[in-house]
Amino acid sequence: MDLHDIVRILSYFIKGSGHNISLSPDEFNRVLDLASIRLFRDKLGIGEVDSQLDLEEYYGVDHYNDNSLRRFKVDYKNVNGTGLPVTDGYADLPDDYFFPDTLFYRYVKDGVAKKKRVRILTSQRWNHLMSRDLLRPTLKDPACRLVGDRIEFYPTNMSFIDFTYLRRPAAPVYGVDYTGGYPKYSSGGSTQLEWGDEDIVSIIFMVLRDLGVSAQKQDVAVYADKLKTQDR
Amino acid sequence: MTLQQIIDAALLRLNKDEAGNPFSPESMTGVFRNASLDVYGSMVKQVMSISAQNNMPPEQIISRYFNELTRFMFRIDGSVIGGDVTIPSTSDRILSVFSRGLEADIDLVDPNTFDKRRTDILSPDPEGNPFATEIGGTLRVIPNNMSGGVLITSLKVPEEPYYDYCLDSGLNAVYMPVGSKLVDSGGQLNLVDSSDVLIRSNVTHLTGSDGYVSNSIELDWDESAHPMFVDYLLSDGAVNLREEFPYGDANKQS
Repeated sequence: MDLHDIVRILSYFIKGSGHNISLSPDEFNRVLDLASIRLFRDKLGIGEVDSQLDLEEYYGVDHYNDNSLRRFKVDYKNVNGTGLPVTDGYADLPDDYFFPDTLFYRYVKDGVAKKKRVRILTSQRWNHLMSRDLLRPTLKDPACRLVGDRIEFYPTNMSFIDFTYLRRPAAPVYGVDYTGGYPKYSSGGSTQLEWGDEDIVSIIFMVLRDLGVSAQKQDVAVYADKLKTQDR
Repeated sequence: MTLQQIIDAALLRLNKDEAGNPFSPESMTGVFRNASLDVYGSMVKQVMSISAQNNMPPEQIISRYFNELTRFMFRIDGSVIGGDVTIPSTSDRILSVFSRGLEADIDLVDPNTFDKRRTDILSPDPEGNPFATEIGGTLRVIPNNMSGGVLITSLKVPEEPYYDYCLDSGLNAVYMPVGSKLVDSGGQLNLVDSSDVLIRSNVTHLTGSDGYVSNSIELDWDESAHPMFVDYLLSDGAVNLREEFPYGDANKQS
């Protein structure tokens, strides 16, 4: 289902409900991106974090078995050729970073390459551990926390980290050609949603709800199927 | 009916009712001009209103209820240049526009709707559902690159009537029908018709002299509409009509 299909479905439900709503391409991009991000957050369950616990206990790879999220998983090393560089205990988060997955610290001991998982802590947990000498993280049990657009590590002498994370879903762009004086859809200039059809139906449903149009999700799915069949 | 015949018909009813003000000849041109424009404006207003209420093309309303207006309809073949079509100054109200290239009716909308719709991706594809708005003397169309030109059906304002007259020896106003003229006959001016048949002898005209041809212009309406003008004159003469204007309520004609 591409963006043009989404517009056709939205138009069907909006006009059918009698609402006099119009959307420019920019407005459409915004409402769609918001819904896409909201779906992403819903799937992650963001908002239910217990600040007393380690984030990874909630959001480690094993905790998002929804296959639809795996497409957003990025291995930093695969993209950049090296691990995430750490300087003086800090590393910059990648631009497309959205949520952490796992961090490993690699080292060589007695000629053998080893790696230790770096725990991701809430700031509350971090402060608690750092305030006690005996509890402070060590190279055998390193830890980190997210601060702004950086990651803070302890111990601070780690240099490269194997980092996997979830990137932000690409913001949709409804490509247009203004040759006729109006925004005519151009698939070539578009950035499609990175979701499967089932999730796109959920996104359309969210957009309709945001616009104040009442519709049943099931009806949206049925109409989307109908369009797909028509276009074959 | 000539302008004078309409006046006479009105006077007949004025006398019958023994009420109202007499018409002065110098005021008649203004009275007829106003009458023509008022009747036309009233009809057009009702056409557009009924068209909007019933979602029917104005042309259909005219042919069904306001047949008197058909004589004012005309068509223009327009070229689309940069999305604009120049509307002739004779056009008073555009009734419909058809795209020859797209073979589709062009939806006429107000400028606000036009601006909203041209950026709205939820609206139907303009390739199949072109639309336009009138700005000044220009029709702006979307898609603005449509080929083949457009066919515009429009209304023009009725031609303005003119009541030309002269005075006879008794200082009575004498209407000068279209084509009539003044001729000098032995030192006096006579009013003759276009076939040189005498209408009135020994007349004077405010500006005209020998050879002067009447400037009268008759009403630009079908004869069937003329009774409306009799009623209009009566109304203008402060006579309370017992019957309504025939053009007062189009719905009653259906």
